[in-house]
Amino acid sequence: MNGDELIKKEKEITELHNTINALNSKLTESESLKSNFISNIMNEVYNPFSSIISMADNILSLNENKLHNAIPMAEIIYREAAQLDFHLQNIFVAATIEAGLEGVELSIANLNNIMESVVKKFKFDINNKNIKIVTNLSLDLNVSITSDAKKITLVLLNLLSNSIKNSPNNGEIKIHFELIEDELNIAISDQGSGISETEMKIIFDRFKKIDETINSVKGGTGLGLSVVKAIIEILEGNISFSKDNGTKVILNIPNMENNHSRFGFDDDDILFDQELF
Amino acid sequence: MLQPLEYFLLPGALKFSKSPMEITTLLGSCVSVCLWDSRLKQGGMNHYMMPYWNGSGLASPKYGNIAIDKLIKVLLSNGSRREDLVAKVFGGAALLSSSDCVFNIGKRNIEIQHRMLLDEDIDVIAKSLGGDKGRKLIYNTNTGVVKMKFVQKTNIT
Repeated sequence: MNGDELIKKEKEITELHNTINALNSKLTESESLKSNFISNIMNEVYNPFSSIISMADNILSLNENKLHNAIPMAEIIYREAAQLDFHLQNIFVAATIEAGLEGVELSIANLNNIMESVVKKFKFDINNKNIKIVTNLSLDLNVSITSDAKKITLVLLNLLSNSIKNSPNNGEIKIHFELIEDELNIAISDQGSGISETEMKIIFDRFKKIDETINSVKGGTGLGLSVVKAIIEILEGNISFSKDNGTKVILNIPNMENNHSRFGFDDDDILFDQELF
Repeated sequence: MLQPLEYFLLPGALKFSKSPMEITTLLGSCVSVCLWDSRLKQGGMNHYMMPYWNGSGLASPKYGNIAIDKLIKVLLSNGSRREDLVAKVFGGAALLSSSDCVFNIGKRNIEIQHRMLLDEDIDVIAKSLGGDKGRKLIYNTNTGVVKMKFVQKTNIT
């Protein structure tokens, strides 16, 4: 081996060494994120559960003449159960996507209905912070596309949950829907602190939360945006973020009505005898 | 004989079946590994879009290193023995219409399956890789037979 070759080999070894170091730190980080996730989950699942149990217990022990007190307690049960349901949906969908088992169930997704159900899930948080939700949907503007309604619902649940968490009290969240040709565009903007350039690089990482401090009042599993991104990719759409007072999220979701070839119904698919392996 | 069930495999997904099934998929620069157990007559197929998961987003079978590992594990956990497994591999085209060709995703997708299947000691008994055309596959998990035809499509991944 001559001198040149030796130098080349040495360079290759240094490069390999650097790659292994980078991978190693990524793995260490990934391990610590995993343990954060487990403690987050304990909070996010355990806390709502204990509230539900204690509230239900209180209702059961109410005197007959104080039954009207059950209503605010039932509201708390609803709020906590809705939170629990939302977190569990994220966990299960993340697990199904990671197992490669998530498919697309096409239906007509009516955005008016979806928005109504999404806002209802968070109505207590919205009222608590006195947040105003402004959308351009109305009886006159009814937006529908052919896509997977369940997946769009989970995407909007996650994005609205983030916006509510990051909004100041008395803030406003704008959700704008627009159907252009074969694409649905949704823009969600809040008046929170926005996302910095550095944060932008990690927002889609699973288990990662921007505010990891122990005293963080903003709950969450750190799964939300990684689930949102994966779903949007399955729906062949796009997601982008920008800083616009607060955070602005833009979604583009294509109409899948005419997308037959993708699902195997292809007109020119009569002969299939070309090659056999 | 019972007609095998039909299933359309989306990019980034993975399908295994114990009972006879015909799995269809469309490939551009993506790669599919069809893994088959010749003893139990069962098999599975993946459809990955990129070679490596870089730690961003979910660790889904959209990435080759995860998709191949998961596919092998799913067969082993369903009673297959490693020595009975054989693989057929397809895809990895350099589609001119796709922006992917700049980074040569197809070629890198081909490399990862080659390396991983070699490491796992699984024989590749048939393949159709590279080129500049998309492919449509129908894989019978019972017989291990794969029907393939080239397709000219612009919207496949």
